[in-house]
Amino acid sequence: MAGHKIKLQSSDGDTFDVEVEIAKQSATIKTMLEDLGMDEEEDVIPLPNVNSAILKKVIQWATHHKDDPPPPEDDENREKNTNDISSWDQDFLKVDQGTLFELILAANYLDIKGLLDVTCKTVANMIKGKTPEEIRRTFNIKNDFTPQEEEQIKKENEWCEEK
Amino acid sequence: MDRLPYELLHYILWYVDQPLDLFRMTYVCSRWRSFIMNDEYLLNQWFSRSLERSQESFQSSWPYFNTAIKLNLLSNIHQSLFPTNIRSNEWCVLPWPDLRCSSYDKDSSSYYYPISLFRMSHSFAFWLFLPCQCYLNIHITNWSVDGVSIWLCGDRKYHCGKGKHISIADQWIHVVVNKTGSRSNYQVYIDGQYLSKLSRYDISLIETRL
Repeated sequence: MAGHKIKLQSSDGDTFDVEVEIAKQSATIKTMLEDLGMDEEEDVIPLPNVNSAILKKVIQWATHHKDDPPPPEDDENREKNTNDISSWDQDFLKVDQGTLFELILAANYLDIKGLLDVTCKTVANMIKGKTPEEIRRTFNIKNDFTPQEEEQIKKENEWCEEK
Repeated sequence: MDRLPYELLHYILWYVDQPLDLFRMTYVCSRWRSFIMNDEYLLNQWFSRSLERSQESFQSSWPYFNTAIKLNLLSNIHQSLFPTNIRSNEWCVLPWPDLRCSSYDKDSSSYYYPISLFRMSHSFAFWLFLPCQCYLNIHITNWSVDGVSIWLCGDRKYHCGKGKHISIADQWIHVVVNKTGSRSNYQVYIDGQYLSKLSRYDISLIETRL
């Protein structure tokens, strides 16, 4: 099968030729090919939830990781360490936040465990060690607590913000 | 970030392994707060996963805080994170014996409760990591009535009915010692399973300490 290609179509209509073995890192595409009996040479696989820019990134990631061993199926055995992101992945994920979250959504939709792991680890690393205010600033999240809630939280929060 | 469904926030939370970071996440916005605080299953999973860590990784995973802050952090987990309706009357962190210390033999601690507690149904519950060669001895006693002594040995397997046995060594277990008003004896549960065949060596009466 190596070398055979399929066509993936993004939400904005662009088509990408991708080697089957690379595309099969996506469990969603693998299922389409294997269970639905799609003809690899002829059919175009539509991916209505992924735009061209993100699909291009996903293909780039999958191409680089095509020889990786499959990640463990069992969630319990998922690697919890967030300090093991390879330097290639770190460089790959030096993108704006919008792109990072689009990649998470695409990895989830396409069911690419390796990509989902590394993108979520990156977000977790952006949260770790930060105060609530720093987290809000990092992700541009609005503090929507009422003044009463804020006061209560401030009280609860005192002990863990002790320096 | 607002576009991410709860399912993916959950996935990200998997990689946030420090209690302090979890607490701070609950203070970011109401969506995050309700996502974390209102999901008891998620919290149970999160803490079970954290407690899987060995003593070594537990100690080495707190490099940023001095001992006082660590203790403060631990002793406030209960108060800060859990909704009022599932908090217990009292909560504390048991001392953590240093097993690497060659002179270590046994470590003991005592906690005192009002006598009124023992006149009604009550229970003691705790998480415990018991290495294979170690044992836990729980004495529950007061000044006027004979108490009980309960032994849990790391290298034993405990019968919990229907031919099932529980192994307790080298893993985090949840122990509940329970006494209901209608029963004269304490019952012991591990991970929710009632230990139905404790012998008189495992659980025995001890004389009044006077």
